[in-house]
Amino acid sequence: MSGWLDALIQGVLLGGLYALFAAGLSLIFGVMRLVNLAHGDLIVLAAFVILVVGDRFGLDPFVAVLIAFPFLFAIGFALQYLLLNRTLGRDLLPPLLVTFGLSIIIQNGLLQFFSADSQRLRSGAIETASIPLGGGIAIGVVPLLTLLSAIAVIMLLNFIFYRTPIGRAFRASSDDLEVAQLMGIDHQRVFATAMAITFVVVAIAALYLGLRANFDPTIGPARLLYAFEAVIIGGLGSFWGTLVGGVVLGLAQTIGARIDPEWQILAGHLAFLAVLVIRPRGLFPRALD
Amino acid sequence: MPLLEARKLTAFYGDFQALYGIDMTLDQGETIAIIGANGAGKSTFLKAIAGLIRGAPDSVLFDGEPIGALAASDIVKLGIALVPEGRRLFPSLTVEENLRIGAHGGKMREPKAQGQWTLDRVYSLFPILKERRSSAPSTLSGGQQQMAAIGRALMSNPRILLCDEISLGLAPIIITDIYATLPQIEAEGTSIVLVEQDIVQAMKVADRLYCFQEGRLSLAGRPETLTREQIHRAYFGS
Repeated sequence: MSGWLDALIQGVLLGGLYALFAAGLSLIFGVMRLVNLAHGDLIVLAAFVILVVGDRFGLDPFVAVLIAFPFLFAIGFALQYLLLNRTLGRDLLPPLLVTFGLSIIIQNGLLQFFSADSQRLRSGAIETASIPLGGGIAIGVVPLLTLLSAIAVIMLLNFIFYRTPIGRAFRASSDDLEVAQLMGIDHQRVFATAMAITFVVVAIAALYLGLRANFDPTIGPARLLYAFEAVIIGGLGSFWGTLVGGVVLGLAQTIGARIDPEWQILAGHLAFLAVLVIRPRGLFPRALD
Repeated sequence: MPLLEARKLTAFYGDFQALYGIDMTLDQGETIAIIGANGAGKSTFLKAIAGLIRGAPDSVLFDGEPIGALAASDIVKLGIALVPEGRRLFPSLTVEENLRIGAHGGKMREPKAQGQWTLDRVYSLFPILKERRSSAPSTLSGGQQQMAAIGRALMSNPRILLCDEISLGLAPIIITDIYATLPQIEAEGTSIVLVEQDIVQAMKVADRLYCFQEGRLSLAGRPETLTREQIHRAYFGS
């Protein structure tokens, strides 16, 4: 019995990581209807940035990520302003093609600089620290921090989206781009700001990705798939839905693994398909989409 | 010098030419009305002024400055606001958020001599909006939505308010209420360009009338000097 309870707890905690993968994807889809096929590779890129900053300055990853934030914010802004804004329009194909190309460029660029060797972010004792709950069940400190960070990120994104002027501009641009321009909103800057914020979220996701498991330049597309599944399970445009989507995916994987270790990944995909069949618009779709 | 001037203004949708060399002027404190049948180019004209359709720089002059090639987001900051056809409130914003976002572009402008439009002043012009300020726009009646769309445009403190078919789909009594607010807006020093299919309503409030026909200016003059036959011919063609 405690084995099943453990699976449930670990599933919820794993869901926090998937929600972090998905939160940035959810934000940019919500604001500009951009499906970013390079999102997983951006997470891996950010993990390498944290690795390099940490190694170069001898910093713990939790400190290195703080230094990486402004750098990644600027990269995100520039990427959207200079490149991705040019791909947005009535045709859905250009952004898909360009972000797919970006994914290949990032993977090959990272392979060139860092080789295919697996890497890991090292943060000392905290990596293996755990909190015993009794009954043979323990919660890892890093997985717990991941879930708490995911909740904090979702709360912050909700605050930005629904309580600030830039959030109003995000929602207005998403509702009606033409009228948003009539309000004096420079949508190109608004979209670039959304991508910049996304890059900060990506950096947080990258921190926990690197602390919890090995990473190498080629693992981005699999993270993208989990992120997509979490966003779609939760319902497009809903941040809390994205968190729930991540948890559903995490639970499905750990319960699947509990039944048979080979079923872990498959069970996640099956849960995703089941939600698509039962509720095609996800569990918490935004009413207007 | 007129506040706003269109000079040989043309507009295209791809290969389709929607406007053919429109000349028009608007003076400070004036209200003009543009009438015409469906597809005459009235809304296109407002979009061209507001920057949603961009053309040659000197095809539109504002205070003598060429603005014809500027983006819509820059033009609203200069002081020209459009109330779009069909209201087009932002559905995911509350009524008050819709009004607040109207000030997004206006805050960059220097304060005018006239009173600034604030949330409180818009609420005093349209008290029902204050009651419904936390509501989603979709729950408002057509008339209330139109009031919110006008209020949203006023929040940018425009010197020129462009109104596209503000009577569209509304009950006559509501149209009368909304039209009754236009003199108050004009009294703040805001000039108004009305696009209307309701000729009677337009002639009541306009200082001057322009009629479009198939993208061309077919008639211009003061309402009291125009005969019924002239307007009929300019509206429907001979």
